[in-house]
Amino acid sequence: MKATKQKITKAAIVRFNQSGLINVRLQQIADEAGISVGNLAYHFPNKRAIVRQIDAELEQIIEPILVDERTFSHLIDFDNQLSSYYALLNQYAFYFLDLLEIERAYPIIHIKRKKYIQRMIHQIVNWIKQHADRGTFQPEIQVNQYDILAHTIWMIITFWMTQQKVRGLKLGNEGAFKEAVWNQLLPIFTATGFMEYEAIILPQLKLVNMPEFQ
Amino acid sequence: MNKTKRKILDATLHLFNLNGLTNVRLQQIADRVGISVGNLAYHFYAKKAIVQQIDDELEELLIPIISENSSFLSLIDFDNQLARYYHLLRSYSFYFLDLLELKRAYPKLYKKREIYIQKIILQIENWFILNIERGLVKKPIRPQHYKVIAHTIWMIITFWMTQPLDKGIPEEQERIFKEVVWSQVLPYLTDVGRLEFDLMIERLLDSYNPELETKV
Repeated sequence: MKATKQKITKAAIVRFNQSGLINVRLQQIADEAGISVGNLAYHFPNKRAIVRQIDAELEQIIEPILVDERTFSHLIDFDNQLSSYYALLNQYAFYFLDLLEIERAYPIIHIKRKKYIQRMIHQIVNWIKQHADRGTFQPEIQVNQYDILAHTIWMIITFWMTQQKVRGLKLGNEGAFKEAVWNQLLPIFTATGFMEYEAIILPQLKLVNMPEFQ
Repeated sequence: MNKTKRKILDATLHLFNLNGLTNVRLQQIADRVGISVGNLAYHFYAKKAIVQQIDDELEELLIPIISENSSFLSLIDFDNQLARYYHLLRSYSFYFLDLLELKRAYPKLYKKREIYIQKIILQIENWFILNIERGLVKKPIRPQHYKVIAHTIWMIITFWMTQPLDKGIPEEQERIFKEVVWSQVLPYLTDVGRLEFDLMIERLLDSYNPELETKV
């Protein structure tokens, strides 16, 4: 992609993350990129075209995270997955905030998102079930227990940025994010699983001063 | 309150829930009520004034829910609490959707919300702690564990309506909502707690289809 185009999409993402996709005008994107609106229009005829370009970039990042064959042999692999999601949440915050405004204004992006969601939840369920077979997690004791669990984990990931903004908290606490997700898994560990968790995951979770949980 | 005012408020709430707070104009509200914008302006000088009034009514529902502490104790109380939250989610869905638009457009109104959120989370955490003392809930696996779980429960409640889910029939939806929240509590019940759950709650949930339909 041409340097100016790249500069424009970058600027657009900055403004979208700041003010919400719907509230940003082309002029603001041009200002952020340090070019004229005329120049911007030469590269992208309208905001929709910019959004489409960003959506394509987003796809490049999401796809590898969601690949079915991705194996998580160890707990740390899932932790790394959480890091990938967290990076995505930060980089493309606007995509996770204002979900409904996106649904209203960009139905095509919304349909794509619904497919991602399905794959994401599916991937988490599979991961939990694989580890249950392997003895890291206990078998299900409740009908649909792990489907509900995966669904909840997906909710925590998807709405993490929104809840921070809603509560007026400072953004950027990866520790609290991981804490919230891992605490979902805590009650289903077997003794062996818990040992792995204590050795590998727990040391990096620090509960000190997390405004989320005050 | 006079009749026209009431009609305006009901119409506004309906439109907010349908299209999102920021996407509704006075003209649309007037059209729905079947009056002129001028007449509407006589009752409410601006959209802001309508929002203010709706917010007051919402508070009348919300405050009793979050101020209950002494009597909010047993499992069935928790289940009732969920039913009340669900009712709120349905009647005032705009308040839970487009949260950030709400914050941008009505920052002052929004300030109160941050306090409510604190209260909701704290109330749920206290419920866990009180029930440890009563022997229904296990001791926390690690420090602050129930704080984090209470926070997750608050997230489930708050973002329940925002999830891009295919919505089934209303009765089913409430059951699914409750089931997802209860699944946050289940792993921490002691044998005694589990017995109470099986007796009091499971029967309520069981009367629905066991197949969870949180398919997206």
